[in-house]
Amino acid sequence: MTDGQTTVEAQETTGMGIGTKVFLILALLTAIEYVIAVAKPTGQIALILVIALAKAALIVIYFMHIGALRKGGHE
Amino acid sequence: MTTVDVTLHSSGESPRTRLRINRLGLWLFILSESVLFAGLIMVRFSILGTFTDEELSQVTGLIITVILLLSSLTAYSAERSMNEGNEVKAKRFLVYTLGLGLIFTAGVAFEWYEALEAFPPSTAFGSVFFTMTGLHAFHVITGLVIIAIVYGRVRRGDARTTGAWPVEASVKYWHFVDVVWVFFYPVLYLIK
Repeated sequence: MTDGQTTVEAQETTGMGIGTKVFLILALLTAIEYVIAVAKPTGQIALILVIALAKAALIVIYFMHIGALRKGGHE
Repeated sequence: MTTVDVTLHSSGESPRTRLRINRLGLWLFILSESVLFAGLIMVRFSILGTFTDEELSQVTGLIITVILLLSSLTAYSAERSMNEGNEVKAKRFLVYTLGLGLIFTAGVAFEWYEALEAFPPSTAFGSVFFTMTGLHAFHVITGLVIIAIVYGRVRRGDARTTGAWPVEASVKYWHFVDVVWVFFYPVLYLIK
């Protein structure tokens, strides 16, 4: 195996790894939202909306690569 | 021909500049669409306050939310594979995204079927619910059509001339549809 192949495969593994991690965090945050909705603690609406903002930020940063807009190229 | 005309009709920009222009255009489109969805969220609170109909199926809402999040992962993987030059893998992940998008749409259709009985559009909650989920579902369906077209182009080998941009653009739009649902799900289902 050449160095080039090793690099590509390493990048691929890292890339898929990041995507899976982000998805798992999103799923966990969704579960927390659900639990908050059921438990109805004080400040329920604020908590749920903060979690929704965090989820949206994760998608925009890691899945939509908003950083690439400034830098150009692929992230 | 004036200087302005020359600038407008020139295609001499580098591929990198072209890509940046394409991305900026897409982000501006996404931003303009966001205003529409943000307006709908405001309408929800303006008309209903924090009221949510008890008959709304929480289980269905949770399941379709996780399915849409999963479709974002497969869409991300398709874009990643395309950038790595692995068209076979990219096509596979595009198909997964299409499948998950169709399941999400079927879930919304099922939700509508039940909602028509529980809170028809003539009720306040029904009108808000059907408007928000309807507009979102319309965007999901257009996203599916776009991804299907892009899949067809990749399959024909067009990516060798167009590059990875069509896949990137369709995937970004799909993620945007997911971001909208990230807000719609708690606003419609969870806040009481």
